[in-house]
Amino acid sequence: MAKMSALESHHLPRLVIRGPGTTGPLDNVAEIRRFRDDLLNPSGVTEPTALVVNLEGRFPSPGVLVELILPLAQAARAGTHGPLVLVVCTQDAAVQVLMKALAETYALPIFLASSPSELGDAEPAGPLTATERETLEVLRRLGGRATVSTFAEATSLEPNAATNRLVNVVNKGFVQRVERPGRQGQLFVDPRAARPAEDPADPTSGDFSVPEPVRSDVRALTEMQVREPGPNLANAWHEILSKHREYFAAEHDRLADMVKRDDTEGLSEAGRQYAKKQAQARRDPEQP
Amino acid sequence: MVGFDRPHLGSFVCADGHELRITARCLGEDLGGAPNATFADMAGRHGIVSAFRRERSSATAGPDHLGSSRGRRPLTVLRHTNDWRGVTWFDGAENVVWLCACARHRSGTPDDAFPFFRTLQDVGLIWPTDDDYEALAADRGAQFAAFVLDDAPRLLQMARDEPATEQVLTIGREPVSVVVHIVETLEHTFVAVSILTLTPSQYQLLLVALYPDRAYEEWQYEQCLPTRELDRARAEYCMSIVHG
Repeated sequence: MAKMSALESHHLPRLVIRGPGTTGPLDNVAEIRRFRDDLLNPSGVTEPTALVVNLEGRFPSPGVLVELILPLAQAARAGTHGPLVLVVCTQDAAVQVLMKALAETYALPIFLASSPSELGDAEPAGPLTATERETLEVLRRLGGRATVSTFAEATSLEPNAATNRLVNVVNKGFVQRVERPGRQGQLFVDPRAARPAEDPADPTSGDFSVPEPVRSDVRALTEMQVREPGPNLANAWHEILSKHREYFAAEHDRLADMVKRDDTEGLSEAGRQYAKKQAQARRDPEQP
Repeated sequence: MVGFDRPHLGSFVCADGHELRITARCLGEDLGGAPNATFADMAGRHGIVSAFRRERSSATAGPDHLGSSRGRRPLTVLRHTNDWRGVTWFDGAENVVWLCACARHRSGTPDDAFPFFRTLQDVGLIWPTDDDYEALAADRGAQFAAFVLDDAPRLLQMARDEPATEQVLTIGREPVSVVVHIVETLEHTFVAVSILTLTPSQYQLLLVALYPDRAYEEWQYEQCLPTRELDRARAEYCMSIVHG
């Protein structure tokens, strides 16, 4: 994988949500095979991605389930489609039991969640030791992203031991590793922290009028402020100011105009512009 | 350091830096306040809120815990006369003491404050929500915007008065460093600030407040201040501008 900057790495992992076109019983194996083959581009993915197969409201037969999930999970484990982790969403207890059995039998890295909105609480299925489960839990508590040093600090482990713990869950396919240049250090990402590549426009947010590429980078930046508040943050700040220089130049003129007009409400609004993103980034994964 | 106690929007900012806030649920349901009521309004209307200000401005927790004191989020009891009780939680990450709930205290009766607090705790409604944290960030942003217009020019003047010497002033929650370096008839101004909590908009407000007539393109990235290296661990970021 190509090395990526600290800011770029905080956009990861990408979230892709797909579901069979129909709800209700799913028993047509040929149809599900077509759905499965169309799930991903032939070239696969190049960046760490969580593929969420949403089976909410669908009731697959065991044959359909095996035909859908087994090849996907095997390909994910082998890296055939790139750095991909599979998450299956279902509220059906029987489907969950079958998924766990598949994961155990074939040693597959699969996460199980009730729905895509509960991705953060997805449960890892498959053959994991108690220590590996604890590693995943610590990573989840750290917001789904950790360097060796942040993980070592959180667990009071020596860096070598922390590296071993993280590499074990990477090797089993439950965690993805991102290479970053220079001294930024490798980043280990939990697929449960995945989000859509684009930052959706939210009319209730102060940044609604900000162009999407800027909004999306500010989202990554505010997350870095919480998760990686060290030297890499200044690099990411520089990157965002340089990358969107034209936008910030225009914004600077707009703010200067407000100062000259003594537009205190406009300036206050500018001060509050990214409040929603800051609150979202600071959200405690342990919050009830 | 802030230096003195003062209310601002939904917060009471204490002299030693922490803030007091009321969760939206407590404000609306327990105190009957409007969603946009300020802290000062509520302290004027409710004795329990003035007790909150009095008791938690110098100490972030009280001596008596609601339930176990060893929990991840210890709640401590707040008292106002014999009749009112509240519970507060100190959020160390944000440096905020939250008034999470309050109610009348009628010992032994079903509508006493303590069973009510425990019910809220059991169902998870006692804690600040995402909306509370958004309101906190918004108030802090508004506070930065309100102060930067006066504080940034004041800081620049301090730096002009003592060229080649770093001058520091806390604006919002972060100390801002300015060094003015005189080169013949030009002043070369360096501005360094930790961007641990600032947003890009707030950073731009700082630059605009320092030199409102200059364009963004005239600011240059700097690797260090003329007087020292940047504090990388605190994510200090520096830009400079030449002014004639």
